[in-house]
Amino acid sequence: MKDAQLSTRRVSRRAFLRGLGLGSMALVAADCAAPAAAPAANNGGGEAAAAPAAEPVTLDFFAWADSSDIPAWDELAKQYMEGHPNVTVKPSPSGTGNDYYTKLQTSFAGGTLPHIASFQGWEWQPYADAGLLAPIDDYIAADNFTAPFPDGVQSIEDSTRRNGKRYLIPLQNATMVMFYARKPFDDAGIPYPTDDWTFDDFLSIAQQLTSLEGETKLYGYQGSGIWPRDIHWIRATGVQEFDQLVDPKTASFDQPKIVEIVQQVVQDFVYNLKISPTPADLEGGANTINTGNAAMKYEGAWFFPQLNSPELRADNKQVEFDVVMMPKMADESRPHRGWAEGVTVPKTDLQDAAWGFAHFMGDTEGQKIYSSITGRMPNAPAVIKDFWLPTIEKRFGVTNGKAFIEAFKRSEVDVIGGVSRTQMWNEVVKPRGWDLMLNNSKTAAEVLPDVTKGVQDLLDAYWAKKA
Amino acid sequence: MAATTAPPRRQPMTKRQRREWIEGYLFASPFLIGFTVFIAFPMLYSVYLTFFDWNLLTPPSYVGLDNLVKMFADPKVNKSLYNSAFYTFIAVPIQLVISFSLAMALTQKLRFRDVYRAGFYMPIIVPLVASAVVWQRVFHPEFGILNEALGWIGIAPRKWLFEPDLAKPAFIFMSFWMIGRQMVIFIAGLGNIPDTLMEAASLDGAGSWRRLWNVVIPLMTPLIFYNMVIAIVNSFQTFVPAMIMTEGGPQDATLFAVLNIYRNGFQYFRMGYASALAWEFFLIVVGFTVAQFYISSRWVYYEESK
Repeated sequence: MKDAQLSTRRVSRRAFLRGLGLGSMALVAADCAAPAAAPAANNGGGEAAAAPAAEPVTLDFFAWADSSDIPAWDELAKQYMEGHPNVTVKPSPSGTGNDYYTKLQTSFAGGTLPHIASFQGWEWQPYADAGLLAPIDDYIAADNFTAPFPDGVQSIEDSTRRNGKRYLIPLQNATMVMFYARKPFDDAGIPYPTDDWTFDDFLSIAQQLTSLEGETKLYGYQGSGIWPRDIHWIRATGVQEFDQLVDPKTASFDQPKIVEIVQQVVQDFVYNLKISPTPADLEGGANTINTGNAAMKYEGAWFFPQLNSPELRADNKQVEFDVVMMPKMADESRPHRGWAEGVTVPKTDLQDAAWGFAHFMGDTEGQKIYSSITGRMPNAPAVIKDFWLPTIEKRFGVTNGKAFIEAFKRSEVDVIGGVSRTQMWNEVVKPRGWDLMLNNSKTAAEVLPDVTKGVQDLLDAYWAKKA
Repeated sequence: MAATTAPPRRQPMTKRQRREWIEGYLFASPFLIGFTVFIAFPMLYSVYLTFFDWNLLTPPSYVGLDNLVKMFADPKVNKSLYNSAFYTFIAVPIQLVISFSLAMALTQKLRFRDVYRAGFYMPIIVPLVASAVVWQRVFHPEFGILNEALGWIGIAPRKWLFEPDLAKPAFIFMSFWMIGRQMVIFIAGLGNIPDTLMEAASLDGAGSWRRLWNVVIPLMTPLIFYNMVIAIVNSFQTFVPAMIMTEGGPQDATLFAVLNIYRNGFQYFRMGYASALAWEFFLIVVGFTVAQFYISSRWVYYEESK
């Protein structure tokens, strides 16, 4: 190799190495510069608050990513930006369920706080306890934005307020009622249920509708097989599994009324009365109300598009359905399961600007956009009555939407606190309770004392640590 | 007086050597930095976290040995380790037998041999999530092909993923779908067995069974050992199917160790406890691997070392 060539190559390599070394050092420096812990709270306002309104602002929106939510976030952001040219809203759909919270919590831990974050009503409390979310009471008062927080609805109080301060702006009221497919009723000549039906009526109808002979099975009721979705049946007896639904200290799944109803709903419906499919029968979406193999199912408004919509009707794949309140049981107040879902404003320099967008989403125009696209129940009674009920009748064929209003008034949360419902379910209630009953290997009377002990152990450990 | 010899003095680096030394490290720096930042540091940090309680939202709080004490008393941990061990020690030997048999079959002169090889390898390139969904359908109690096939020979349908006694065997059965990689390695090994050895054995009167037992298998032991080590490590790490198909149920029958660590870390946000579990599990897997290497000297045949 000629010297000149060698020399040229050496110089080139040096330059390359120098660049490489500098790049590597920059990488290390960038890594070191990243904050290692969640930033300290600021005391509200901040630079953006003090800045003139026209100053450009970019808001990161860490968003729940149900397939029906994503277009709604985009539309809401678009509409808001049209009215606020200086604001850029960037929705980041980030999964659903546990996957969503894993990403969100990791994001907080990494110090990259979003300006707005979606939350279900029982999940934001640890973030508020850690001082990471901005209380919104002052904003609410300043804007007189009270519609999403109607007086007397316990589930809204429990899922938006903590230790006297409000944190969650509801974008939907999640309330669950009984869905029924019309065809099985029509075929059997049974009248549709009405809001004043009783538990005995429900059982009788489910038994009459059930037909397991022949090619096509029909179950009267599609049970859920999971505790959170059986909570309604438990609470409707007039008792509850905890001393209090927010920050419980005592678990009591083994009360006689709970044992009786759980035995009936979880095991007898499946194995004795046979009005409900086993979890195995439901595997892969078989034997459901969607497939025409079940007549009734306990669900919420998010379920509408799965059964009936203009798109399904165009393909002639719709399941004509309607809704009705859950049947009357021992508790005359008829509690229904419910909670708020919405957004919070983390404590950042842009929390004032973030509140502006959150307020827009939660206010009348934003709610109309959101509920039109997703089908979900809006947050304010007036919007529900004047806008949502006609919309769901037209779009999904729901004629008894007022059942949701009545259910919403009576709604109560599952359980909120330091020991999450997910943890109770995964660690104790499922493996030591529901799995055994659903396998028909043990009865409610046999498993619920052990479930009580297991959940109590979790609560005791939490409170001991807290102390 | 004893004569002493001074140790040879290390020659100082020339300018050129020093420059090459620096250049070498600079070339390696992307890997070294990546490894340090993204692997070594997190691993060491997780050792530190073992002694802390941390939910990602508030600063870690020191708890001493609490996580370790709790870990040894936690029935979920024992159950998950048992599940992982059961799965591994039943599944891996059968996987090896099947993949070796397939490799033997597919080194014969068959029509469409390459098609068969590709077919058996294909599941490896299917994403695990997709595989899990497919197998959910296979095991479906009412419409699954497995129950359908068993019905042809008079076996009643079973709820494979819903009965605690059947869920792990179902997972083991499912693992046989993923033996393509082992099979390919065995095929490569079988192709390297010298024909002269096989001919010599034949001339000595060895039948096909004797040639397999006395020539082929001994020569294949390094690859059997390699496949076994990798398969054991992979089986211990089973996570995706349990997460998707059963969520650890029924009755924790498929709560494998990695799923338990994941839940503690990313569902209950007990990072300190999850770190303790991860290190316990890491040490167990490393222990098994070291033991295998130790025992391998008794049964693995390396031609060049004899």
